[in-house]
Amino acid sequence: MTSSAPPRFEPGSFRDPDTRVFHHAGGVFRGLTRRALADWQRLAKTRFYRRFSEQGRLVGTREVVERDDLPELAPQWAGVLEHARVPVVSYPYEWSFGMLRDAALLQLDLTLAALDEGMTLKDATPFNVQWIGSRPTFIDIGSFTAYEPGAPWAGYRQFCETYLYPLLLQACRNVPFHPWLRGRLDGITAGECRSLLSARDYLRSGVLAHVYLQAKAQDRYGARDGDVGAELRAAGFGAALIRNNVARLRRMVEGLRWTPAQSTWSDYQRTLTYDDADRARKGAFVERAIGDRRRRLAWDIGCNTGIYSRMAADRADYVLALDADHLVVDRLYDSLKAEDRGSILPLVADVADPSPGLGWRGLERRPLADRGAPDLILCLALAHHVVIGRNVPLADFVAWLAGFGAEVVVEIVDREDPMVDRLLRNRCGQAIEYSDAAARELLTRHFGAVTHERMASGTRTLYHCLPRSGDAPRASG
Amino acid sequence: MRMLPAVAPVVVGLLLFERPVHAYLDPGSGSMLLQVLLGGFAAVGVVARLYWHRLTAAVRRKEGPQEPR
Repeated sequence: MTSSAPPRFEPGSFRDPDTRVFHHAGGVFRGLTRRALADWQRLAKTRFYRRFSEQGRLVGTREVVERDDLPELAPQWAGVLEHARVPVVSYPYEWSFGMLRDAALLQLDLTLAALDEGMTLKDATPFNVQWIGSRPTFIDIGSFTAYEPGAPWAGYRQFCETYLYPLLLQACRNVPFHPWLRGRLDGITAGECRSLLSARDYLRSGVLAHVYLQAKAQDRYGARDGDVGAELRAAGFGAALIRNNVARLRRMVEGLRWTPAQSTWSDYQRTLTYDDADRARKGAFVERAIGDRRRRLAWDIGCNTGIYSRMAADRADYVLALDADHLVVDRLYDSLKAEDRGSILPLVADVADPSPGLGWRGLERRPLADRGAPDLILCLALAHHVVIGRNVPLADFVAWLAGFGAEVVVEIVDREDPMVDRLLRNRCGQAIEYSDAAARELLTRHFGAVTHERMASGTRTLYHCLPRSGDAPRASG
Repeated sequence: MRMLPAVAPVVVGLLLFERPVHAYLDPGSGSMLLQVLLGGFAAVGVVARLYWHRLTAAVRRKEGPQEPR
């Protein structure tokens, strides 16, 4: 007998009619049509599937044979898979350059490995890659399908639009890809990329073909009638040509580098305005606040080099290390990758302009808090940037923090601090309500218990705030 | 840029050997054709055959009986 609860289909899983993800009893499942079931059975027998799964580069998956505990599914779903749960789902417009590049390399590696064993992938979008800390893992098992001899690589254009062009623009022109990918989930077109590149960029291997020629070819043949795939098959197109293209693309992507000398916050640890004693005192306060209690998910907002994210990771199952500065997050990703950290996920995230609901009905891609609500928040040396730098009223900021129903460690930097003074310098005449006293009053009003410690500098105070007894942490789906 | 004319003959309206391919994603006609160029040396034979098909199709159209309209 199956469960009476209806299947809760994932709103972002609808583009491929042959597979669909649904959630049930805390698990992640995928319905497969008869055709997709045959593809899965073929995939499960390949050597590369086993190899990538063992390396954690493919999401853990098992076929559900006994469906008694699952919701009743429509007859079209001939098979069901259960996937290992990703700690927190993230999107490419929240990743750093290095993360998008590593996800692209995983996509290409899988394409090459699949071709070697008579399979291919139906698409090539970074939304099919997720992260276990600093380790990328491919989650769309339904993307693998038998390779039809003579067929071109179906995901080539999508790979260019969602991986290659964003990486190229960041590497060549220092154009951030986040607003582009957030602005359009389908990525950047060849024509748009061509418009932004300079003549010098075409000297880089592969740019002429993948950008200029592709834009030209799409302009000329995009609206043409006829079955181009059939023409290519008739002319003998085959896997060898795809393999050559993918291998070259791989070399090109691997060689892309984004190396700005510095950003606003990339040197913060060197230029910060407090001394070693206060730094030690701050560390000890955070350590005490985190305590020995196990946490499910911690957010470190404004994480910079991730000192406190690492501290939180000792007690939390998983940590989101969030910072609005792309270069800071990219460097943090590099260091976490070198440490092979599986428990800290670095993301480019601006709390004053957070990832919204996007795509079809605004539900295809969800806001960050819906994907992973924290039970511990570290918010150190951030409030003045949001309140003064972004004009968010202090009361709104504190109410927002309290709204998570989580335990919060927040650092309030007073108006006399050189950092705050710098922010206020060009804001003369504006009445900005911001002070340690006002923050303390608000924190006491919104939280259950508040303890604090003033740093020796006299301009910074750390607060440890417990949620009011009725405020449970927000559930995330 | 000079390689583009070599791709042009690929689109010749040949609808031979049609087989159903189950693809939910539109790979784009232009991008599919470009993949021939990106296939390296292995693509030489494919381009030659595409030219040949174009030629024979043109001859067939010229010599064959006209379809009643």
